[in-house]
Amino acid sequence: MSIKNLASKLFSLGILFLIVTSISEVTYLWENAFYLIIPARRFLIIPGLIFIASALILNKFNIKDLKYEPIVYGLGVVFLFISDWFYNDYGFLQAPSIRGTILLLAIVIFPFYFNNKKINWSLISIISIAFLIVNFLLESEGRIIFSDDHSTFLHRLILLKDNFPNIPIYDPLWNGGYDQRYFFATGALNYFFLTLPITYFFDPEIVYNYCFIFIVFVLPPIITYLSARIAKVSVETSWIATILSLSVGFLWYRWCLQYGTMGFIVSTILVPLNIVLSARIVNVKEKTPLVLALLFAISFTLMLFWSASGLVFIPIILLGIWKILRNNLLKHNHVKLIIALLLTLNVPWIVSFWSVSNVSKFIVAEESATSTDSTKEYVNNRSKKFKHKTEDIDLVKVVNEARSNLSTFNPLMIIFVIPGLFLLKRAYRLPFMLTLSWLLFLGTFCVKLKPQLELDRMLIILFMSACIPSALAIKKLFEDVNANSTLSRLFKLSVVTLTAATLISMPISVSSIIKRRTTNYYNFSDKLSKDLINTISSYKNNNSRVIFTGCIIHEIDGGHIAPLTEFTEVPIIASSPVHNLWWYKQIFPPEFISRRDEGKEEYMDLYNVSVVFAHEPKWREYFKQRSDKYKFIKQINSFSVFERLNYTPNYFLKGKGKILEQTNHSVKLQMHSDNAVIKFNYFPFLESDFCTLSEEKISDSVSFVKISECKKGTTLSIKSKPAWKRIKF
Amino acid sequence: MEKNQVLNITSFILFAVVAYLSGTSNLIVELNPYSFNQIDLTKSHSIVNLLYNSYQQWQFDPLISGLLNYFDDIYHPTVILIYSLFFFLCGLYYCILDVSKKPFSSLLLTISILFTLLSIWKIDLVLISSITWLPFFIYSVKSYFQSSFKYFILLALYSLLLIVSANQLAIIYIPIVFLFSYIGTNKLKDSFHTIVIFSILLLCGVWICQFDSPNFFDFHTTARVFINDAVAGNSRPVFGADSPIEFQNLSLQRNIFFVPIILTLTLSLLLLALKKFSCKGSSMLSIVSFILVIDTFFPEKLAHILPVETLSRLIPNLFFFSLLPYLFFIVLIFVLLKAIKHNRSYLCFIFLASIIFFNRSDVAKISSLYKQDILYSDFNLFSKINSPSVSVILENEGLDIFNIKNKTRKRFRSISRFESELISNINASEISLTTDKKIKTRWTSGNGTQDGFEKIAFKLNTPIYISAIEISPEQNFTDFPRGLKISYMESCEKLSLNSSYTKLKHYPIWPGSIKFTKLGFPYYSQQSLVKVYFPKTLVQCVLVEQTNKTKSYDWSVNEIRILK
Repeated sequence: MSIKNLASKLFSLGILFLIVTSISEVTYLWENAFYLIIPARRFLIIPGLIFIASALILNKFNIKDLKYEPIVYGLGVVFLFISDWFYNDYGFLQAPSIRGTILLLAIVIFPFYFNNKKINWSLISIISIAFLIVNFLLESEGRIIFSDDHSTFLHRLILLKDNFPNIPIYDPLWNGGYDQRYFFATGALNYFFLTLPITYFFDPEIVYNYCFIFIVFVLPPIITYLSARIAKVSVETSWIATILSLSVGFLWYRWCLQYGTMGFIVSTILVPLNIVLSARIVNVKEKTPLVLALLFAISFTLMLFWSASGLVFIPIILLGIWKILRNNLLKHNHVKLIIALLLTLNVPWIVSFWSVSNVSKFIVAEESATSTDSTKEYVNNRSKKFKHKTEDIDLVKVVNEARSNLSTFNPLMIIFVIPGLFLLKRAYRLPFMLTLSWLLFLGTFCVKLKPQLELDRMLIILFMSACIPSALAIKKLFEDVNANSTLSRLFKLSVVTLTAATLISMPISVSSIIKRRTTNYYNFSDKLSKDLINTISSYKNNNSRVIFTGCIIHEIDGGHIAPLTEFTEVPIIASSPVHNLWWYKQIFPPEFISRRDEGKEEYMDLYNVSVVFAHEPKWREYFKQRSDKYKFIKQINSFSVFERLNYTPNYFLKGKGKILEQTNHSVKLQMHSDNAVIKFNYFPFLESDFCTLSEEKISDSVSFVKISECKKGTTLSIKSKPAWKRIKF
Repeated sequence: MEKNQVLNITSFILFAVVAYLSGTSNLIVELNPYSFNQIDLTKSHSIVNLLYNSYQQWQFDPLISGLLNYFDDIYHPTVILIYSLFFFLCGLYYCILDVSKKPFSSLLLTISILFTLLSIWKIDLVLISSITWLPFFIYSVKSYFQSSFKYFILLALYSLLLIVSANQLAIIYIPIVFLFSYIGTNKLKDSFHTIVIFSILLLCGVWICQFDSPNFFDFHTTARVFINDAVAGNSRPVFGADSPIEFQNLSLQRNIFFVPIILTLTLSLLLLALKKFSCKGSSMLSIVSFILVIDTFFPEKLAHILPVETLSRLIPNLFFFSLLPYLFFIVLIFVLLKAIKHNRSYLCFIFLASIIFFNRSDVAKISSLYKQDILYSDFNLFSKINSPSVSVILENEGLDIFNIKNKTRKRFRSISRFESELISNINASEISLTTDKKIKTRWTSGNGTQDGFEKIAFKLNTPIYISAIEISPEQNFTDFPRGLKISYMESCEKLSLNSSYTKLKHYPIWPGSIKFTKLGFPYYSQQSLVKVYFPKTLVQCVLVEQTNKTKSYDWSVNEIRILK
């Protein structure tokens, strides 16, 4: 072995030690408490640094000459396999069972590599996609995926199908009139556009699962393959990258299946394509075809609909600016056209979004959220609470949390991404390196600084983007099976087959998640939602609203209550139809609840409530004890249904008239008096075709719509003004 | 007479003797895992095969099950037996004849194989009816590859019959096709043949997916979401029924695999050494056998990484294939038949050896349970035996387990009520915490491990009758004892850990407390609930020992309670 080879091996080993350090601490052989092999992180960091230093000294500090030693990184896979690393409750490959699968697959694969035969990765990739789709369909048994935000996104798809491009909208079916403006903040638009070919022809509630399948199981391999090919990666490596894109990690599928934030999911999938395309565009030495420029404009716009994804591209934007100044980039690669297209496509919705969603306030919201100390203020500022808390950066804590988060991702990518970055073509190397480092910084150090942005998601984007570089390094390892001696060859073959088996076992591991056999549990719409829908629908012609008392978040088959108004066509009132609450919020505002029975009665009168659903024990008990005012109708799981006695439904607080129709974007009514106050929430952006609308303040938190300057018998519609009229400059 | 024929005849006589001695002459009904006189054999059933501690969906060949209606109920088992044996024998004979071309020798070998199977597994109609079409299937596949397209119809027809009659087991037959194709000819390389084979496999797959998993509707399905409480992991099967998989006795299953595998390996190695193998499949057979031997040799703790258990997590309902070892054995015989070109008399020795090896004690244990007359008069009781509960019943009080059901509703009392004394060999100063009636305090072994020698003993002021003890770790749910032994003395002067106690109950691996479904099927609940039931016994001193090891968790006891 030459000194150069030795230096390369030592360097790779040093890097591997540091990688392993980043994802493990105290490590046992095989399983927890079996045999301690690494008592603390320093036992890896110190040798790692020594190896790197030795390599540099041996190679006379010529770092460029140090080669990638795939077999050394392959040892990382062996280490993870034999250590207790797989025993992570939230790990992607979970021991003990996955070891059996990997070993079995290794036995099957071994003869292929032994006889120097090629494995057909394209076939494995396609089978993997089909395998995951079939598993999901089998698990769903025809039910819609309903977990957490999936129900909300289904609702948004329905609203968008009915109303796009006239968004945001005023939805009278929710909470007595609701500003439906979350299409922008949640990135629902990209999901809507990508699934439009399906939802255009069918009802979203019928095809929602197929939309989900397309986005989660079909789109990632397509985008990854396309990105890899644009980045001039070989066909075989591109197919390996597609398998990796299907197996990003446990957290990825938690967001896909359990949390259902589809806007974020779509953006994440599009990030690798945008990195590759932007890297190509900023490379002045290579011409970019017009079709790729157009593809970038579309893809980047779709990605940007989940606006936080814009943060990902800060390094590449800076690189682009530098290239503009240094290499006159504006004259190359259709850059002017791209900028024009991006501005045309994005400025209108960004301006609307900025204006209607109070983005500037949201960005600095952590200051107001942390400045309130008293309990009272917390109650009043409930909407300013977020998933994470603002904290000062504590390096030890950051490192520990990063280790814990990184451990949930695909171990092959963790090991191979760094060498893979150096195997990328020169033009793509720097953009990838900058972006991935930036994402790691955002996803670890910045999480606590801006809790409202949930920057921990950046780690997911990082690993989705890491598929291509990781595939390059893995492919290189698969090619490294020849050696001089039989023993050496057998050793290499063992490492390679174990790595290949780990790669192939990943769709099986994903299947475990899909089949709800891990700690990641998600829900489908089930009997409860069906029963609730049937019961609420029976009040369709009741000319009143239904109220859900207490705080309702995930009580409807694990999902949010949002789509129930669409399924039942009955107006509903609940603490919130979507997940914008992180703490308990009571439906009755403080000024009403403090006045006990009288206050609650008044609130229900004000909102024209005739049917009550109570799921919290104390509320069930409350209504049961007042049988003179509430008649118990039935029990649906934890939900008790009551009808209000001695209440005559009426949507008019003052004046007279008739509500003719309530849709998801307007309320149509006929006036029987010149003026009226209707029991619908007032917003400054409301408009009517005939009469004047103004605010009628009822209490601190309730303001209704006052209609004036109307003629008797007038039929009018109340709806939101168009987006451009709502922009505040 | 040729040397081979002499060997065959000799082995045939030997089989007859061994078969007679091993009790083949018992009644069919008694030997079968369900009561034929109590269930309708024309319909599908979720049945438990007690011999293999497993359960499956079984149905007698649906194509001709209507035929049974022409016979009185009492003749149904006999009809099934005759039908199944006839086609099985015919198929087997033609298979062997095709290779040896000697009718008499083939007939003897056929009968030898049949006797071997019956001797090992008795007259189990579930087994026999499930493999009825296997020999014909193999014969047709072989003929198909050896001849021409005209056998295609034959192959398709047999495949259909096979799937219909073998139910979910047909999935096991699929590898046979490949094995034969690989060993017998090179025609699998022909794309047309490959398409045909894949089409048949697809048909099998689709058909198999239509079958329901065994359905024991009243079973608790979420008792253990994770294997070993609080330890997450996808040890649960990726496909197929998820629960109640814990009822399965994996060690028994591995033992069942062990014998056919070890026999096959020994023989294949022997023949390899003697150069009796004349086809390329021999080395493959040896490799497969070797892998499977490893599977059965490794300690139980590592079984989860080995092929059989891995496959059972990946192939739908594989755990329910009670016939798997049986089938595996038959497949190996056929492979050997094909692999050995000359001197097939070697096979006789495998058969003979297998009968000796297969004399298992657990079969006797189950048979003893079955000999209780009460089972045949009480269908409710019988249905509980014919369920996944059988493991719980066998590992506990036998049929007396059903008396525990009444006890589970009763309230346990702290031993502090009985002016008790307590001692322990570890952390003796904290042992009083087990009688303070506080949920937050506990006695614990304290060093983060369980080493197998932790002991607690208590003495009641007077001897009383008790029927259960509770020593749960309550909130520290991972700290349950990994193994548990309860011993007692009817009366004792002085409390000691080393006195001579009488053993009352011993669980080498603590399975969890026994609970009952609404319909009265016993099952093991979570391991963190440590309630040990036993027949009412007069005790004054009780010794509780933790007998297993874990390096990860303490043994904790929140409160010692007894049930009078």
